[in-house]
Amino acid sequence: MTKNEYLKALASSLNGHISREEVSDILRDYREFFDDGALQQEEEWQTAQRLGDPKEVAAQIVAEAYIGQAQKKPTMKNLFKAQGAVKIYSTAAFVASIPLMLAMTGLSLGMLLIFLLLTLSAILLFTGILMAASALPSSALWLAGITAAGALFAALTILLLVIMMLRRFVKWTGGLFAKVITKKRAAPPSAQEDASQYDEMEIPPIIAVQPSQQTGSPAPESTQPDPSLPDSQEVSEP
Amino acid sequence: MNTQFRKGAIEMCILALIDHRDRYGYELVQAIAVYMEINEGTVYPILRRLTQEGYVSTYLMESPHGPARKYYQATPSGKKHLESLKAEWSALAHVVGSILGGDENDQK
Repeated sequence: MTKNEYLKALASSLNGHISREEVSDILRDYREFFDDGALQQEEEWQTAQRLGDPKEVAAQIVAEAYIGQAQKKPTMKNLFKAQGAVKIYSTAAFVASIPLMLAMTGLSLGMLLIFLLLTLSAILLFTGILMAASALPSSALWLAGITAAGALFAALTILLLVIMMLRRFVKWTGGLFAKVITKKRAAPPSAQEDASQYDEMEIPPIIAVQPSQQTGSPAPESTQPDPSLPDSQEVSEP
Repeated sequence: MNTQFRKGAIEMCILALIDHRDRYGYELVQAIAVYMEINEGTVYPILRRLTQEGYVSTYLMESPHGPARKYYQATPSGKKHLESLKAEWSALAHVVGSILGGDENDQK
């Protein structure tokens, strides 16, 4: 592989993952390395061999960049990107992040299911009443209408809660994930500690957050949102 | 050897090498490669991260032989980081050494 082939391969693996300025800066570094190799009477293919597979080198650069992003801004997108990138070179960090991802997915799916069921019940109730409306006195119709509206309102409240909780959770997970990775970097010789550190990581932050959200949001009319409270805590507990 | 372990060791070596004096990429890679068998292309990603973390700063300097070279320099926080890494390392080396040497076995 010649110098130009190597730099081209490196650039094509980097483009799209990190900014153009960074790519050109990185290429500058590797070009300098080739030039210095030439000064030492090294053939270009020899220098290329020393550097190793450009794809692997690019993967490591990209992984570092994504982890940096996820640490600075733990959004869902950055987290998944970082997770994917980490997989390339650190299975341990990837494995450590799996339970968090699973818990997050489970939690959101559960809450969404409750939302869907509530909406469905509201619709069913409403249409059922409409169909029977001719046979019923108007007072019953009013009652049913109010019940249906209550159910809908509860459903919307839950949706709002889902969104709020997810945002908190993503932030919290992001912090934890970043911590696990930083620990891994900061104290590599004691990599074994990482797992225990992660186990000890208290869950309380999120549980402590929940009640305040529950009371902070507009008080739901019906008792229906309540099932969501113990439900979500169960999910987040393990 | 465990890659994570190696990576940490390489990071520490890089910091130690540029702590003595500023070095440019090829020189730095060469200095490490003398002692360890490494994928030499992966030194740059580590240098980039150390730079982003503020442990290392860079500057360009004309070389007598050709285009400008990028020199790497340990920042004050990099020097501090190196000190703590060194302390951790020697503590670990001490413990591992005693266990491997069997010194601890007699006491239990």
